[in-house]
Amino acid sequence: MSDVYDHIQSVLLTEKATLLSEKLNKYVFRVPPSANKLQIKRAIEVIFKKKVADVNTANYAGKKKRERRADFGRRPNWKKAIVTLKEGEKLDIV
Amino acid sequence: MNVALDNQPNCIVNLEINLPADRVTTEWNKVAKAYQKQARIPGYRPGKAPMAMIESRYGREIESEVSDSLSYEAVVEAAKEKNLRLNAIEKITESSIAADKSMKIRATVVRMPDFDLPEYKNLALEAYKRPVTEADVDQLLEYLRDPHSTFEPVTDRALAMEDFAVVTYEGKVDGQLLSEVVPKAPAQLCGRRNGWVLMSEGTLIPGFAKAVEGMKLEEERSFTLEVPETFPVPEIQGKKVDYTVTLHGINTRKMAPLDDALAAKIEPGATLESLKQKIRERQQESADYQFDVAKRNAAVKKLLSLFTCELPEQAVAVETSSILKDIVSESQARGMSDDEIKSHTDQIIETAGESARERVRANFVLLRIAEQEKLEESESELYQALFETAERNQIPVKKLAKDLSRKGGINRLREQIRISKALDYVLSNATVTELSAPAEAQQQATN
Repeated sequence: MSDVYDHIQSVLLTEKATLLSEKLNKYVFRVPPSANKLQIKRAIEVIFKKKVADVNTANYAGKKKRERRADFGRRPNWKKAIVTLKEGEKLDIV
Repeated sequence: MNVALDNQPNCIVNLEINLPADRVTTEWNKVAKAYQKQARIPGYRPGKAPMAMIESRYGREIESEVSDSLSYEAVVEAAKEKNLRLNAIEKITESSIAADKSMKIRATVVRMPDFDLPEYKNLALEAYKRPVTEADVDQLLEYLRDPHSTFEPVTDRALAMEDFAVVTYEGKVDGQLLSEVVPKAPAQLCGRRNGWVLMSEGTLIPGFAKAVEGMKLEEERSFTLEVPETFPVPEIQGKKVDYTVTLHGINTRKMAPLDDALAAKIEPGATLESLKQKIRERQQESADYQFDVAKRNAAVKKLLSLFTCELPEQAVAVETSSILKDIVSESQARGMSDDEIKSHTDQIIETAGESARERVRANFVLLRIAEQEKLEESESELYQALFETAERNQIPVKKLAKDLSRKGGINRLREQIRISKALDYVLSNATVTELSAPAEAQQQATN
């Protein structure tokens, strides 16, 4: 059985994420593309000990990158999870 | 603000200050906002990172800036609150901000000593005022005339005093060339070819001019001179120097005639009378300035004789080092070598120490007078003092102001202005008697 820590990669701290957390009590995480909403919810509830109301996800294709060469590689695909906490719950992630 | 005082000997006071959280928070927010505006954090546009992020990233820097800016202010305020006459902040030993944003500061400060202010109004002072005489004007005129003189060759007589002799000479000690015995000796002492030598008693080694007096053109003369023990070149003091001198020419100085043409050369467009008038005015200005300095010195001396007080060693040490710097740079400007200065170190330190004690005591009493008479420095006076200091030290005003504010020097400058104003006040309320001769001469005459 996979570990809860396998389903959360990092917290995404951006201007947009900060606004979401301040105004809508939503927190943004980078998660593996393989993680599903239920796994993410469970991971947040176990790691941060907070009740999760909703999880939205979005898949992002890794960007093409090349360095002065004709051939190119690409950054890995990734998944963004926007986790809404239940009312009264708060995360201090800064 | 809670302040606890602990008085120590030698005018030292230990302060313990607790600053309330609201005061620290205001300053903290100010500094943090400045950081927020500048911060470039990934994920955020410049200046848009949240405050919590800024504080977590730059917390230490913000704390040190806040404690730096608040601790100095707080110490000055605490001293004011406790009616402590602050002379200097020796060191801030601790300044820490707690989690609730209250701040604790421990500092060691030097207070001004307590003493009864002497009677400083209606002081009876004596100062020497140098009269400007026609002899002074003539003397300066002669000095200005000197560079315009010409030289005329003399062929019909022997060499006389005050002539300029063109000579070739060589000095030897015990048969060895002087330049080899004392390599560091000035070249004109050792020997020259066709060198111009003024025939006066102070030229080269004492007795040289007398020994060559009466020589005729192309005559060669040998003589021995004994160097006196007080001669400035120590290596040849007390030694016998053999000189061989050949006279090649005699020149006399012909002074330019004192007329309007000479005056115009010295100052374009001037006549002899207008030049004399100008010299007279300058001499008068200089005499007035010297009289002013003498009055100020007399006032300080009088005030110092009227009270005693304990002196903070720290203030004396700072003043001593500043006087030492002045003495050394003055001595170097007068041409003293580093070795000579080093050989007089003890004497210089002693003199500087004594002067520093007097200066510190004088500053204390004058600052108290300024306080008593509510003499304050205006901003325009501060700017003027800044400009003058910058000009004297030949540095840009902006740089000087920056340096001074960083080292607390602006307060020193303010103090200096107040001290000067207090001295002006004392003088304006004093009765000054003009002495006809310098104070020392007057005292000797009465003895």
